[in-house]
Amino acid sequence: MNPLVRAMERGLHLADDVLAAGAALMLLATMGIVTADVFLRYFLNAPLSWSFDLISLFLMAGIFFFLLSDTFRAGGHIGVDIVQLRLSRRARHGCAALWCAIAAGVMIPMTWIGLQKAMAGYAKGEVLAGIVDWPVWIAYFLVPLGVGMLSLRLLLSTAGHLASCISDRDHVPLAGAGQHGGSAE
Amino acid sequence: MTAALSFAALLGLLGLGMPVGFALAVVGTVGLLMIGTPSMVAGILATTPLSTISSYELIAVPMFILMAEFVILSGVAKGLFNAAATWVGRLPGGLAIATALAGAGFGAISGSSTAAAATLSSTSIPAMLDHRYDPKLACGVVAVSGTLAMLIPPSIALVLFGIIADVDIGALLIGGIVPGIMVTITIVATILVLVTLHPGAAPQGRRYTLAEKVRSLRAVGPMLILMFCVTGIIYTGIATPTEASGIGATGAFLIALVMGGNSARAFGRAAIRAGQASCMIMMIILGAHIFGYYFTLTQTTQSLVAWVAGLDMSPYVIMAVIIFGYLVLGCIMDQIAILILTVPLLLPVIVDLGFDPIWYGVLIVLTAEVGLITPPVGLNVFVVARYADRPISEIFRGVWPHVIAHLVAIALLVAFPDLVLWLPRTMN
Repeated sequence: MNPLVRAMERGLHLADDVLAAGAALMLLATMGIVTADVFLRYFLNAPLSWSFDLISLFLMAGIFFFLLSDTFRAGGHIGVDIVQLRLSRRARHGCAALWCAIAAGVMIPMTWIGLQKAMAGYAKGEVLAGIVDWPVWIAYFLVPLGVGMLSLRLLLSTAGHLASCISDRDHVPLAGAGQHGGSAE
Repeated sequence: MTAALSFAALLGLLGLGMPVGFALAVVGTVGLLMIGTPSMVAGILATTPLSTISSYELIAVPMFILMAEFVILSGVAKGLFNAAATWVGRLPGGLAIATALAGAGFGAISGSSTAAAATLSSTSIPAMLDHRYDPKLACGVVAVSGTLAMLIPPSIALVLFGIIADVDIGALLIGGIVPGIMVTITIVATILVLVTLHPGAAPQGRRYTLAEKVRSLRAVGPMLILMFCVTGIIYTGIATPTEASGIGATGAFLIALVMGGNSARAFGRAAIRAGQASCMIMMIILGAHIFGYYFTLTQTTQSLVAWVAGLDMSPYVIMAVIIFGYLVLGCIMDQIAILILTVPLLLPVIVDLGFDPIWYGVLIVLTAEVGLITPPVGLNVFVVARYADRPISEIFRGVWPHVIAHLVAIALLVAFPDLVLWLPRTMN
């Protein structure tokens, strides 16, 4: 494998691991906050007024965008493999290269548009007015972060599957039943 | 015409192997570009990702998945099978019946069918094979019993239906209780018929003393606590289904902490697995939202409703065609993807035909359950094959009597909608 591609893969892997750990903490925090909110509301009549915005705007978005690329790496995004299972390995690599490139064609513009929106929000100091004035631009930055990392993974997978298709050797793994792996590991 | 083209493109991308969520996002974006301006598409892509994911109701999805992960860590499910086996193991086909009952019990504390199938595989299949059960019967029962988690609350599939269809999630979850019990009885009845026809397939088990039976109930305690944490809270109206999902996950976490003897790393891994499964579902919802904009602008749904309304057919004939369509889709697609792809399109038609959306939700989740055990996709069959190390063809042969029984259950729900609607009507 090309040293540059290998370095990119390692960097993405590390970033994915860090973000996945962050997402796991956010998931546990969501669990704790929802439960605490219900108990405080029913037993002490003192609900956590800030919990709704914190969970929906930051924690849910964090869980999703932090894990978007990692889930792709783990082959967790489900698809229909009924056609794929009847193709040769080479043809499957060719199909995977094609769909990864097509998906990157939508994810890259989404990253760019998301980044512009986040930069504009940051420049304006955009907040969500309420009991707590949440800096909403932080949530905006989660979109280009997650979708951008997914885009990089899609580009790496396109190259890996294309190389596998041309050389008829597995440079990247093919997904198992119902799964879609994309990492060059 | 453009809608037909986009459907063809969607099928083409799915055929290439593109994940469902990505395919929906790609076709939706390209479709919007075809009918609108680039700035309009940029506006949708700028707002949709965050607005879709930042939904408070959506937290029920990761919370119920997290609950399932913690239930597995706790080992409660193994105790459920042992308790059921102690009480009914003496009956003909007793261990298979115990598997069905454990499947229903697991369904009551977890909303994930594959988690249920995996857990039941590791506990009940070795026990049944040790007692010289026919592997076909044993694996078939485990695969079908796993599907109960999709119907009995907390059901991730019903939560998703509620979010997509904008239907009361609490009423949907409670609406799944009677059909869930009905399907459990159907599975038990099918086992009894199979054992009567082939007595050698399921030898009689040993007898247990009353003291042993009472002792086995210790495993049922945590299950009852979790059941109240979710179903009881929703039914009594103490908290919303979203809040109940968080409480359920916390309950499962505490039970896993006390009973499981697990390390912090195991809890972390469980949380990441739950996050990844949630991310997959949310990606499909995000893709469906982008695709949905395209459908709205092309007025595809309205055209479909008008076309169906113009048909000179009984609503029940149309419903039968729709159910048949779901059974076919279930053979080739994932159940969550089927829900997200079809509900926005078909729900207006169903409502226009005079059917209740809660009844429809429970019915299509039950129909989609069949897809979990039918070839070629049949996810539960693959899970059982992997965990039990048995040939897939053997398990598919073992589930077909249950598929027929499921079709009878579906017909009963169509004929008697009150089987679904009665309990939600009694809610607070």
